[in-house]
Amino acid sequence: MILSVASGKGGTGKTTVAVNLAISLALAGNPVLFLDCDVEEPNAHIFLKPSVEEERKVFVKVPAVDESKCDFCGECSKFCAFNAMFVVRPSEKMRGKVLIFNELCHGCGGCMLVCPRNAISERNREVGIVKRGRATVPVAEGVSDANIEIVFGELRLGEPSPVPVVRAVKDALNALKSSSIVVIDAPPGTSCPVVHSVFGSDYCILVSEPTPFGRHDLNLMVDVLRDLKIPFGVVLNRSGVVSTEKSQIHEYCEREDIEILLEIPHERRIAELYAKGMPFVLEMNEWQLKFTEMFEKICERLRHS
Amino acid sequence: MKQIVVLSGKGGTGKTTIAASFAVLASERHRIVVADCDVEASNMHILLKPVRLNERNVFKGSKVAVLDAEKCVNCGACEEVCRFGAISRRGSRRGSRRGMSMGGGGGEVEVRSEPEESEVCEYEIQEIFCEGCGVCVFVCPADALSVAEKDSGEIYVSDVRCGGGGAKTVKMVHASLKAGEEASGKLVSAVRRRASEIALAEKSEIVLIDGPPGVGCPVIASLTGVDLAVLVAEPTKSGVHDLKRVLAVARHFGVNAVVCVNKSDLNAELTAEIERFCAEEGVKMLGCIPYDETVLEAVSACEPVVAFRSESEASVAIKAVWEKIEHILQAGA
Repeated sequence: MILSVASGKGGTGKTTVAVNLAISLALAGNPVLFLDCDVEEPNAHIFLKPSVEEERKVFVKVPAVDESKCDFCGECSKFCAFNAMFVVRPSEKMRGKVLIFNELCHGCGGCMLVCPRNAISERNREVGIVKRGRATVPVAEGVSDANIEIVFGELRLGEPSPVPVVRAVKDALNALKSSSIVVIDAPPGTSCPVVHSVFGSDYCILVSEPTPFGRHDLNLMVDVLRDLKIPFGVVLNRSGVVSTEKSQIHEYCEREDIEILLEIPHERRIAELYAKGMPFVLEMNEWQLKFTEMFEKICERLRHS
Repeated sequence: MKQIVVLSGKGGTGKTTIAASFAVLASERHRIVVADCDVEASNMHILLKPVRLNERNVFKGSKVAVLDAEKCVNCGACEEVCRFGAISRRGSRRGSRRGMSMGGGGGEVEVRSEPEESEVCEYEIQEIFCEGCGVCVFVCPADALSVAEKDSGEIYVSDVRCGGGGAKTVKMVHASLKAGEEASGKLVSAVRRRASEIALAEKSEIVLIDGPPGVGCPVIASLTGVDLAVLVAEPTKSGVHDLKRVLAVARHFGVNAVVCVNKSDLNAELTAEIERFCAEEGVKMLGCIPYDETVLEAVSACEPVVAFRSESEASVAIKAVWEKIEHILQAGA
């Protein structure tokens, strides 16, 4: 079972929902794998506080030109769809030169294929890091602790594309045990990093907040998920801030036939725990049941679809 | 012309609320252009309401491979060279991570029921994974593939209600990116380019940019070459963590960055930590904006808080922050 948590708008509570859901499931005895795909600003590890057991660098391929073989014909730069290569033809005054703009390169390998003199090879360029660790959640006195396996990535600062790091985080799914429940924390936005994060999930939880911003951006994510044909439901966070807002988002969901799975109230206590990096289900135990019940509800919906 | 971008790293810290308030305050004294560069989840138009749409243009930011099924000879060369998993055999789930994990050996699950016919094209393109590189086109022996531009979104130029109690209008450039598109950085650049053109033509003094969350491509595109980046932090563990990352990116690109803390009284300890961090790093701290329910009411009413209740606690604090920004701009001029 792969569950992703997304939102469109940032700061609606994706990480809060994903982390508290994962902990509640783990405490109920389920094996849980947590993937933090928000590699630009990963936050789940702040709450889960895992011990990191493994670190792996993430590389992309970029071209390397052997200028002793190159005759500066310019085929590579003509082919490159991303303007990542520029060839300076040799002249009387200057030697020829091939300029490579690594940040623009998508690593498609096209330049290598089109080079008539076999002068291009590839080298690795580091764009981020993926960490794997284990978070321990204390259950009760005398009972062994629950574990959550967590994989999270960090995009190297200054790098434009998070997608290779997201892919590397999702590689953890290749060795997945079928009994595991996977919780994916997606990045904000509606573009390709989000699509890569949620792709392949069985169900997506959309976290929204009852504000005009929340409603607007929820609508955008609904379009994305309908395109991808991923079933979804909504968790309403900071519910009840402004009562008219709450009824508007309810009306929207009703009109669009979207289920509201859970409402998390606008409570100072929850906000304070969040600020401190503390998952609120650990302090407000009654919420563990609400999260596992939500999970059951999702399983039920999937069985009937 | 000065360009100011409002960023935060973490989402939901109050970028748009504060940027819209800055727009109101700036437009009282200056000619300004507003650019909403959070093109994936743009919200500025909710607070600064467009009264007239001046321009609406299709944005073609990315390319995608197109397969002519009639010509395809099913050789599979394209699938082999595609680095993005965007070409796969119909019915197989090789492009999908899920398929790989669930299917055991490579995860190829043929679900085709009709008999194999060599004339029928067996391949399909998963548009959401295609980056439009054209490598498949190059290797196809049957000339069955081509690369086409696709519509990635739209760019708008609107007159929006701004300062003077909403009596003044300013030009705002905003955009919408199509769901799941990859060209968000390019669209941000296009929005900024149009905003700069308008600012030059109208002799505007300030281009005010509302940026996206994160530290990746669209953030970099919002940030490069601006005169000042205002980083809106919040006093939470996540907020502090994300502030540090976005500050490092601003510095990486040589942009002068300053910080303000929003909802500062939610956690005094972490606000102090941010202040300490800024002092250590030599980053100017412009001030703290307290948590104020009026902000939520203003958002609900779809108004920038300084226009909604100009004397509320948050409004007073935002005005104080803006005054400091004015000083920085004057000093730099």
